[in-house]
Amino acid sequence: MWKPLFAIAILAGLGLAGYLLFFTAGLATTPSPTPSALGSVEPLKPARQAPAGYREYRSEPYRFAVFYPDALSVREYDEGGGATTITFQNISEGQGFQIYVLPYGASQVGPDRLAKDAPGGVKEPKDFTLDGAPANAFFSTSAALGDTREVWFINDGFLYEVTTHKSLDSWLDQILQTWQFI
Amino acid sequence: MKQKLLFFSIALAALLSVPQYADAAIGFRGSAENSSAPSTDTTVDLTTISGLAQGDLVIVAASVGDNDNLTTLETLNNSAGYTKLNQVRSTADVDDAHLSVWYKIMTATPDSSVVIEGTGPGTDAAMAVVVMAFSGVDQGTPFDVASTSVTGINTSNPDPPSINHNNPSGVWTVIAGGNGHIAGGLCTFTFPTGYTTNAIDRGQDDTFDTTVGMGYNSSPSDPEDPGVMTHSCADSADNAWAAFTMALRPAVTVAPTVTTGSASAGVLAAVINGNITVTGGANSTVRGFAWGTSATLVNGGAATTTETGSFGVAAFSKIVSGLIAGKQYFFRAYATNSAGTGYGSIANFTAGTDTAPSRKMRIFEGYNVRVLDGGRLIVR
Repeated sequence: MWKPLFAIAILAGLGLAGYLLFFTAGLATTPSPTPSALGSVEPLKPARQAPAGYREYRSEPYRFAVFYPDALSVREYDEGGGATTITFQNISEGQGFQIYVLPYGASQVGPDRLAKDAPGGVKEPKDFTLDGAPANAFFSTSAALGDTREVWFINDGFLYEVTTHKSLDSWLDQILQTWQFI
Repeated sequence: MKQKLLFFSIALAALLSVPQYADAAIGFRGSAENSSAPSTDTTVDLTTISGLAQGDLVIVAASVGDNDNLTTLETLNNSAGYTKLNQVRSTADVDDAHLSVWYKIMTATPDSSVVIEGTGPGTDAAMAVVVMAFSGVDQGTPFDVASTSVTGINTSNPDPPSINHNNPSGVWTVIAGGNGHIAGGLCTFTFPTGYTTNAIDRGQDDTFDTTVGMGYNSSPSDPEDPGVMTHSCADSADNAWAAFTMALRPAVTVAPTVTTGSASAGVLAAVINGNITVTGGANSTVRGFAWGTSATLVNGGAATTTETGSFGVAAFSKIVSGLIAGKQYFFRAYATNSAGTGYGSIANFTAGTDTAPSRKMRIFEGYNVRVLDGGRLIVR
């Protein structure tokens, strides 16, 4: 009778210790952030009506919404550390882009993050604003994708890295014009 | 949610204005008793009182019956920390009654026994001892007013005197009575209405015997006239008795003392720490943290964590999540008992900045990508 109880107590203790370690060790494997009490202090903006041929992708944890062509399929990847990649793609039409969003405390992108996520360098950078947030568009290269168009911006503690193939630059620009922080 | 947070903020602010004291409730821990033959010490085992703890009031009543008109009797052997409330004796009859009462507030290591010196009484005298323990009694002034005592002759039925206590709210009265008799056999007391007891003992069946008893009333009148403790054995005009009446003062509870600890912050979540360092006389029923981006924690942008239970002196922590990377947060621990809420000081931490992994190229993952001369992208 006592052996199972003891084993349960040990497992519960290990579980609690693991949970605390998990949160205090830089959250290396933290899943996507969940809406918090604080995050809910300011009410989210309501969903919008997408125009014909589009759908709205809406992320409450990362507080943004964007319209995308309804021919694209959407997939989300939990990258750990609170980061997520969302892909929008249509293989047969050769169209697609991804949003890599991660918790980010600085107001500007640091060289370490640039080196990690854009090792191909920054070419032809241009500053602009996206729904009120300062943004930078530049070209780079990727071993997997070749020449890329990058649009990076920071808002409310998150860094958004939007990437597509360089040839889809104009197409992506139209989509990003529908971007909204919610 | 916004209304809830506003409510918490208002509630916390309101709690600051609540009087931070209250009367605690007295509780009965238990009793023990023992008796001995003449010239023998009487040891009462206090470990039989379940839950006897630091701060509890232990009252010891020892009664001796004899016929020697003794004027010096009972000495408490392990007297460390015990205070003799009084010693009264009735020597005007054939059978004398001697009743002594001591008390002590238990320390961090409660006493395991109490020993009454037995060599003083005459060779035919027997001794009986009863002990009662109470929780929630004011440790500085355990008795609301001075105890009263009285003696009598011609009967073995103690009649504890009236007592006029000052604080009718929460006061308990305790009566102790003893007698000297020669009836023999297993004697006991029937206590007056309103009094509870299982603490009665009878001295050794010797030439001169004694019966002692103690009882309590959790809802006495003011003034309280307890009534007669009726002895079960055959009464005699040669018997004598002595009795005490005491009024227990409830402890005054104050809000707990709480300190705010440090925080371990990640990017999205943090562990925040607090500690109840002093209970204030009663365990807290709620503990938690106020936290948020407001430096004062009373405006918008503040949330409250709540954990309910019975919390004594102990450290506690909470994981708060949904942080904004790089943002500064403020927090403080709190705990609430029946008297009010104690707060730690406001501390702060800053959420981590950038610990996310490197980006992976997920679009067209697993496909070959090339661009035709016309600029069209081919994915296969």
